[in-house]
Amino acid sequence: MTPPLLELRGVRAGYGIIDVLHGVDLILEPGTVLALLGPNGAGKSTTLAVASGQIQPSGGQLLIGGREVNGAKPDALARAGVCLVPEGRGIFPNLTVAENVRMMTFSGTSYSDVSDRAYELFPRLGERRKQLAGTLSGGEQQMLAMARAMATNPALLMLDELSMGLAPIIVEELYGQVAQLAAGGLSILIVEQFAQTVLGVADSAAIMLHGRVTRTGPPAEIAEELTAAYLGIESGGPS
Amino acid sequence: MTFGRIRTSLLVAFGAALASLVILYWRYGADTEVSGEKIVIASVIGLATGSLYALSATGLVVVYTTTGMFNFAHGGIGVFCAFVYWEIVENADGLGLPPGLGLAVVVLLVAPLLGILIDLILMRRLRTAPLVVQLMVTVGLMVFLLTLANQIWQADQIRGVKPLIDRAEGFNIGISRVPYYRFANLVIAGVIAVFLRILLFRTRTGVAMRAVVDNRELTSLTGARPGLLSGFAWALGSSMAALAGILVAPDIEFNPANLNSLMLIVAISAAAFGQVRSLPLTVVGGLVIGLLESHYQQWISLGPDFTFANRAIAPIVLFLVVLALPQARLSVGRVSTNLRPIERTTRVWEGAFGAVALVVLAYVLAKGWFHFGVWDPGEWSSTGLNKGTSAMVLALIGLSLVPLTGWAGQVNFAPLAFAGFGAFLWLRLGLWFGLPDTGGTGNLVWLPLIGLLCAPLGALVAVFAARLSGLYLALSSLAFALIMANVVFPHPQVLPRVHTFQSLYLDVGFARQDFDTRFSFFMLLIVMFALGMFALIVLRRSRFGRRWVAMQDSQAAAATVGVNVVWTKVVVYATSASMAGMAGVFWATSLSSVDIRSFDLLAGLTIVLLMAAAGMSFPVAGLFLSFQVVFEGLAERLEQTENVEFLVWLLKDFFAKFGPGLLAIGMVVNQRGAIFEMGKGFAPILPWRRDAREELAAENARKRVTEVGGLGLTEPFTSEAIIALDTQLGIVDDVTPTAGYHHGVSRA
Amino acid sequence: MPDAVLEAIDIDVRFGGLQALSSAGVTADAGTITGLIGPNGAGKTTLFNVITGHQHANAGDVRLLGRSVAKYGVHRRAQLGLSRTFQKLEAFNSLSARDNVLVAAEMHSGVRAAARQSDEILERVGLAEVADITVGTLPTGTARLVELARALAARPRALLLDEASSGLTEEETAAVGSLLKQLVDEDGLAVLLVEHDMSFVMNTCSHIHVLDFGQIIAVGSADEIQNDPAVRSAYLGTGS
Repeated sequence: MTPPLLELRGVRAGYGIIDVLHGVDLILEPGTVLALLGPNGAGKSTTLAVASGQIQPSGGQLLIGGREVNGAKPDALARAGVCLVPEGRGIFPNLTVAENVRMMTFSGTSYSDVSDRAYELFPRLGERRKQLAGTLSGGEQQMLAMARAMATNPALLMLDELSMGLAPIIVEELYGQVAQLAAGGLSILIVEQFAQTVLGVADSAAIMLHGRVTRTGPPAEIAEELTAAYLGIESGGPS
Repeated sequence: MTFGRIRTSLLVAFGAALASLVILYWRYGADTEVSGEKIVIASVIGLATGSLYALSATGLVVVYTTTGMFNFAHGGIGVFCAFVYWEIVENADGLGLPPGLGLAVVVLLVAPLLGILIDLILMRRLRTAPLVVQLMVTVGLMVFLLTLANQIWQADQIRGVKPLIDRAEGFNIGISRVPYYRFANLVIAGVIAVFLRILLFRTRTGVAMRAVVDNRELTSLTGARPGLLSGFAWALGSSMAALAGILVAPDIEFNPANLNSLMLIVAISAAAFGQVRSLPLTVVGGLVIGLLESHYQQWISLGPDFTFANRAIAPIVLFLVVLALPQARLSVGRVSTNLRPIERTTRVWEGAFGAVALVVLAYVLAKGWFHFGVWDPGEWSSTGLNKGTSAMVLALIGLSLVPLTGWAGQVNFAPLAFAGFGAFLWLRLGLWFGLPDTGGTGNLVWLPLIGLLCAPLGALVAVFAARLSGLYLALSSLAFALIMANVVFPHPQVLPRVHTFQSLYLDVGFARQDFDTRFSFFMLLIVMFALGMFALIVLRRSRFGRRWVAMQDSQAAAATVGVNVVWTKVVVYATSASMAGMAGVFWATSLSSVDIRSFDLLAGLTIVLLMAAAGMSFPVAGLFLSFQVVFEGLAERLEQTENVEFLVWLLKDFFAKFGPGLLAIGMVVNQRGAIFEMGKGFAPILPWRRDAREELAAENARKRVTEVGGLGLTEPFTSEAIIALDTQLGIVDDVTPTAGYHHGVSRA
Repeated sequence: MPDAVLEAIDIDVRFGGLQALSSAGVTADAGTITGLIGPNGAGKTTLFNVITGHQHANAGDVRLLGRSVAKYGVHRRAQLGLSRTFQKLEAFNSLSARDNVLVAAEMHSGVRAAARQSDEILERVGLAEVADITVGTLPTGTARLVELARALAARPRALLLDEASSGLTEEETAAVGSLLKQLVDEDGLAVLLVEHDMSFVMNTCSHIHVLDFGQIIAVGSADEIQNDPAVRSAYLGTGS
């Protein structure tokens, strides 16, 4: 049996002395899309930071492809095929689009491959090669960030709040690309607030609350509970 | 966008500099006729020197943009490498390598290795440290490298470096001769600039170096190795410093201090021209400074009163550029580390007790009642008092940094400038106001007046400083120190060259006390320090102290509770300036005459470094400034004893000389300073410090926790489990107060 | 008709090409708690920053007690009765909890009065036991309460809370809720809060403004907001 592509076992982690994650258990099977949902401050982004090596867990285990990789540096994981598109535009604003694309070659893909693929997927970026990335529109910036995920053939893709601050139509376009990647068999972990959109592409979903994964299940079931979690309906007042 | 604004600001600054040059010429022009030939020659020389400045400055910028570390040791690295070059090429007893090979060895081997070493040992650990610590460590490194160069290549012989192309070779413009080597410099600097441009914009490594600046986390997420990139940047920066140092050496008096002040100040000013980010603007900055200097020398003669004014050109450019830069916004968010769980400010009675204890102890020592068995008390007290006096004078100046830098977080490299202003006023008051003792009031009743008069200078500086923060604030204080030291203080109308400050006395009309003996002067200083320390302890517990610390923690938040940040800065600068001004009176009196050497940049920086290493937020840190003096004194005393040469060397040549630099570098490990650590060890002994004992117990308990983890248990304990375990084992007695806050707030 | 203590009117903020706020406005009345909600990146904190003066607005006006304060600096607005907490903690980390509060109280009161007020406020917020502890070493939730106490010590007429409950335990959140209700009822304070804990918002706020893409898309009571289709789609994405 193939081991899960990504597994977190009782992971505790945080910033300084304060723990944000109090024992997170999470499994991403190869070739599937998992949506990680939950309100702000629940620890979703911290979970991704642990999985990408940016934060070392203070307890528990991080396994990738069945191998424990606690303590691995983010650049080492990146070269091993773990690709995180962080929240809020994963781009270098003071580099040009072309230079941003060039930065994608550090995980092992050749420059010509990366640029061909990136400009083919997002022709709008091709037109703006010489432009500073910081001067692109929000949607174009997110496309540039996504281009790294799509052009470098990662083994594991993690997307943090892809839709934040973007117009619905652009969000749909981006999720169209995610769906294509998923159809191609890529394993994807998505953290999102726009639950409805994600649940459309996800194979399974997990809800995170107060630093723990409280519920895992098929998207349809999770969707029911989400409204309550977000808008505070039926969840009762403070006791 | 903002680039346009920056460019406008720079144009204004440049225009101002040019205009002042023209005005100066019109008013103070040398007796030279303006001719096209002279303009060309001055320009060629200016461009050639300026290109070396640009070279040095771009090295500084490359390091800053890639690692976020502003390297004050940049000049020091250049100096050290230039002397290594001298050693292997020019030294008659050295290797005698041909210049080209020597240059290659230093620039391609020694300098990069030095840079990588600095990165590996020091800078990597400082990436997330507060700016003050970063600054102090690099300044400490600069002082260390300079001391090292001074120790190895002592001033017992005159050294010189020959240019790569013989000076005699050149061509004529009219009747003036321009040597080829200056053109060579221009060409080399140009080639390097092009090389850098290609490296940073055309190669993947270069793009990644720029990416690190933009977003370090994201860079590592792409798979690039930020550590390697920053190491490479340090190697590159050091090489450029070395190259600039070697090339500039033939044109100056070749000694470490001179070369350093040139390299450092000019590089900083040129870099500031490009906001420490833009390489093209930095190059322009270097060229502009070079041109200003050569044209100043060619056309303007301010007379003997302004002998050193040419050294102030770069600082003035720095000052103008920093002021012309777009305003910094209120900075939000900065992590303070290593805090004490229980906030404890020294109590007033403790301050009083400490002050009295200090005076008593000093009195006993100064009287020579203790002679430590072996020493002749008479001898002890004469050297001891001399050393003690110079130490306490520094301690008084150091005190002025406590509220300003220690509490309010305003980095100030110019304590001596304020002190010098105090000395100047002390000297001039008599003349201006017809007080008794013209030419140096000796009566201490006028001391508070000095304090009052120095406050406006502090306030004035604050008005400029209020719009600056962090690095720019530090840079402008450096420029301020240099301008005061090179232009203002050397002027005979300010501080006459040959003047002896008269001894101090206190005359209140019906009673008079003279402080004309070593002993009485020393005791006076001790009492002043004790008073100052006590006053600061009271101040820290007052609303002002709280407000200053609050402002350092978060300016944005301080403003939301109604604190007027600008006004608060004015008050703290005025306080610090008046303290330093009053200290300046004692400083000048102890030196008996003050000249340009008294304001040496290193002298001022050493005060700041030692204060920082001791812990700038503690008034008692002032005593730490006796550090060098104590070691020197001990060594001098020991020199008469047999068989202790090593000890003498250790005290005098190692601890006393390298101490300040090494201690500041030590802040890499201990950011809170020595007093903090010493206090932590000492406080639990004091009978009334139950809190310190509890803290110690809690800390030991935490240490045990990590030891348990080290036993090989992979699953870390929860804090509840540890407390339970500890209680079971009876390790922690009933020390619970610290446990309370770990579990959040308990509510009634 | 309640008096508007705080009004932000038609605020525009642009960051480069990004329109962070367009004609956004909120009102906070005396004696009420007003909520400001919206998805991540909607511009809530930016609006707060404009109100307190930390952020320059390209257009619009901020009125405090009927008086335009748009031209005033942060500290001036604070002196006129505007106080806030921050989303990213901005406590005075190297001071004790008591001194954090004292700094604010001392801006308008003498030594003794300020000390007395500080102790009262610390007691009220539930921080009496940690008063002497350095705030930088406290857990995030507790440090947030210190910020709240500090804001109260500045004697505000309008209080802005940015993510008041994040990092707090359930009990602490509930306690903050009842404290706010008490403040509003007894002292006539106007409270405006940004919050992600929706049950907290729905239970505490009498008015709710919803911000999405820099625009106010809905204003109303908790029930009205929960059943507003625009709000649902803003939160749950385009699908619903």
